[in-house]
Amino acid sequence: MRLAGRGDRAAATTLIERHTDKIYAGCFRMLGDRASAEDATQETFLRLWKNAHRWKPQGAKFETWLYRVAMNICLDQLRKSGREIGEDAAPEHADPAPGPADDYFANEQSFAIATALATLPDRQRLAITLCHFQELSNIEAAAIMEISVDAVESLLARARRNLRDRLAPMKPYLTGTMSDDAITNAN
Amino acid sequence: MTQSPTPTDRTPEDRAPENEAVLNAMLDEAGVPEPSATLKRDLLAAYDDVQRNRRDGLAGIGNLFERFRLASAAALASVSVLGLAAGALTANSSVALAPEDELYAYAEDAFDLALLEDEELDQWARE
Repeated sequence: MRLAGRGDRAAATTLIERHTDKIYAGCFRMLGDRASAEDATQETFLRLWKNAHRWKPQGAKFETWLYRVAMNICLDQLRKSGREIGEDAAPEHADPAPGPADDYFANEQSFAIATALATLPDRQRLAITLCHFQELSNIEAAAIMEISVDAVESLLARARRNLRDRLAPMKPYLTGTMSDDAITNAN
Repeated sequence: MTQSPTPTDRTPEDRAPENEAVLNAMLDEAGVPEPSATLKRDLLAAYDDVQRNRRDGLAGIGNLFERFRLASAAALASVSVLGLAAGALTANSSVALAPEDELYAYAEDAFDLALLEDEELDQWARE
C-alpha cells in the first residue's frame, strides 16, 4: 500500500489483483446488480488511490479499511437511489424494485435467493454479506460496520431468520425431497 | 444505530444445526456474476490518473514557490530603490513648519538655551 502511494504501479497492480474480486462480490451482494457493483468497486479503488500516500500501517487493518469504504459507498448508493431498506421494514413488505436483474442468474433458484437478500434491511444484508459471503469473522465485520460484536451477532441472527422465512418454500428442493412440479410451484 | 442483542434474537430454531446448514447451502447457491473484463484495467487506469494529477499538482506547487521567491526578491529590490530615490530627492529640501508643530520647535530651542545657560553658569561659578 505504501509502495502504491509512492507511485509504484506494480504494487497497485498487486492490490488490484488481490482485492478486486472480493470487493466486487461484496458490492454485488449489497447492490444486487453488476453495473452498480462495478461502479462501487471503482469508487472504492479511487478513494484508495487518493489516500494511498497517507496510509499508515499502524492504523486499521488494510482489508478492514477497504471493506469499510466499499460498504459505505454501497449504503450511500442505496440511499441515493431510494433503495435503502430500514431496519424496521419487514422484508415481506419491501419494495420489490431492488431485486436483482434476472439475466445474471443461471436459474430461478439463484434469482430467488438474490431477491430474498435484496429485500433484507440494509444492515442485516451487510452483516450477512460480510460474515457469510465474504467469510469475515464477526470481529472483523464489527470493525467494518463500526458496531459491537454483539450487535453484529444480533443483525446476523435476524438476517438469517428473515432469509429462512423467505426461502422456506425452496428448502425441500435443496434437501432433495421435492418433485420437479413442486419446485416449479415453489418458485 | 447500534443494536443490542436480546434473548429473542436467536430462537431455538435459529440454532438448529440442520436449519443452519440448509440456509448456508441455499446462500452458497447464489453466485456472483463475473465482473466485466475491463474492470481491473479501469482500476489501474484510475491509479495512473491519480498519480499523474498528483505529480502535476506537486510540480505546480514547486513552480508557485519558485515564482513566489522571485516575486518577493523583486518586491524587496523595488522598495529599496524607491527608498533610495525618496531619500535623494528630499535630502536638501526644507519644509515650513505647520502652526501645530511650532510648539515642538520652541520647546527644542528652549532646551538648547537651557544647556547654554547652564554652561555659562558653570563658567561664572568658576570665576
